[in-house]
Amino acid sequence: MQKEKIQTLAKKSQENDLNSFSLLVEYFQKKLLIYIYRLSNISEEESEEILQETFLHAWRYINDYDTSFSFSSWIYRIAHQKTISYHRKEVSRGKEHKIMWDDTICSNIASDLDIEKEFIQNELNEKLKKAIYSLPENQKNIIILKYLEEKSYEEISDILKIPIGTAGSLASRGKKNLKKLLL
Amino acid sequence: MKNFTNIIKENIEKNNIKPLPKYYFIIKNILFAIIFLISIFFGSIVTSLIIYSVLEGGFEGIDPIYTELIKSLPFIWIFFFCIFSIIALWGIKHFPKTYKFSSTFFILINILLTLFLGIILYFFEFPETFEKYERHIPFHTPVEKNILKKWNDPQKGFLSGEVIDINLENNEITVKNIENKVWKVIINKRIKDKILHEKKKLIDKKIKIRGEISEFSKSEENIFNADHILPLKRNRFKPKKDNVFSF
Repeated sequence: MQKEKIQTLAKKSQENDLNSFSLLVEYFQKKLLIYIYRLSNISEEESEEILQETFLHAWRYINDYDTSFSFSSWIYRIAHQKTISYHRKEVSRGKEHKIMWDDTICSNIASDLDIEKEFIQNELNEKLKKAIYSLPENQKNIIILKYLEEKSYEEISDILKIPIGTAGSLASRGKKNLKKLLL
Repeated sequence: MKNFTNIIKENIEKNNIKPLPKYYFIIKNILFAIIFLISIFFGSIVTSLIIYSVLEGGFEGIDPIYTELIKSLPFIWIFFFCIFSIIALWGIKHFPKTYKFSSTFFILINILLTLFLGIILYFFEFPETFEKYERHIPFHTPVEKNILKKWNDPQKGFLSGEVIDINLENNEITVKNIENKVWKVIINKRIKDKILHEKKKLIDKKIKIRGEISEFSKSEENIFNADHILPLKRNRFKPKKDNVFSF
C-alpha cells in the first residue's frame, strides 16, 4: 500500500470511518505482529493480545495522530509502547527478553558491521543474538528498528520520540558495541 | 496468523468504542502550554530575585569576593528555579514534535528565556516590590535586612541604618541601626558638601557608612566617624533615581 493511501485512510479514520481503519488494520497487522515478536519473548497469544490492544488504542486515540507525520511511525510507536509496558510487567515477573531472528537479518547486520567473513553463518547468528541481548535497552531498540524493521532514522525518531541525531548516535554506538562483542 | 481486521472491527462495534474527540487533544496541548508558560513565568520571578540578591549583596567589599558571592546566593530560590525549570521542560517535552530536539536544547532555551525575563523584571524593580509586600514566606530573608545585618559591625568599621536626623551645623547625622541603637555619625567636609542640598532626601533613607568608632564614644552615646556614606542598596545597572550618592 502506498504511503499516500495510508495517509488518506488515516484521515478518513479520523472522521470516524471504521472501514478505512479496518483497511489500515489489515495492512499493518502482520508487520506489527512481527515487530512485537521481535521485541519480546512472549507467546503467540500474548503477542496477538498486544496487537489487539495496539489497534484498539490507535482507534481510540486516532484524533491524536498528526497527519503531517507518517501513520506507520505513529502506529509503530503505539505497538512499541504497548510491548514495552507488557514486557516490563513480564520482566518484573521474572520472564526473560528474547528477540526473534532469521538468517537474512543476521547477515544484514553482519555485513553492515563488516564481520561476516569471520564467521560461519550459524555461529554468527548465535553470537549476534547473544550480542544484541547484551546491548543496553535504547541501543537494542534502535538496532531492531534499523536492521530488523528496516526503518529510516527519521522513522525511528518518530517511533521512539527521540531526536534524529540521538537515533543516529545510538545506532552507531550499538554497532560499535556489537562489533566489540563479536570480534 | 489470525485475521485481525474483523476481530478489531467487531470489538469496536460490540463495545461501541468511539475515538476521543479532537478537542480533548487540543485541550491537553493547551494545558501543557499553560504549564510551560506558568513555569517560565515563575522561573523568571525567581531569577529576578536571584539577580537582585547577588547584585545587591554579592559585592560589598567586606569579605573576599567569592565568599560574598556564595553568601549572597539565595539557595532556596535557586532550588525553586530548578523545580520550575524541570516543570517547564516536562511541559514543553509534551508538545507535539518537540522530541525532535534534544533536552539540552530546551534546557538552554529555558535558562535563556527565564534569564531574559528575570532581567526585565529586575529592571522593573519587581524584587523590591516583592520584598515590600511579602510578609508570609518563612524561608525568605529580605536582601535589605541581610545588608543591614552585614553592615552592622561598628568595631570593624561598618555601620548601617535609617537616617533619623541631620544636623549639618554640627556635622552630624543621626542613624538608627537594625538593633534600634541610635548612632551619632560625624561627617567630614567632603560628605557634608555632597549632602548639603540633599538633606531632605536623606531623611528616612537607609544608608551604609564606612569609618570607625569615635574615641569619644561612650556606653550611653554611640559616636561613629564616617569616611564614606553609601546608599543601602546599589541598584546596579538601574537609573539612580533617588540616590543622593554617586559611586
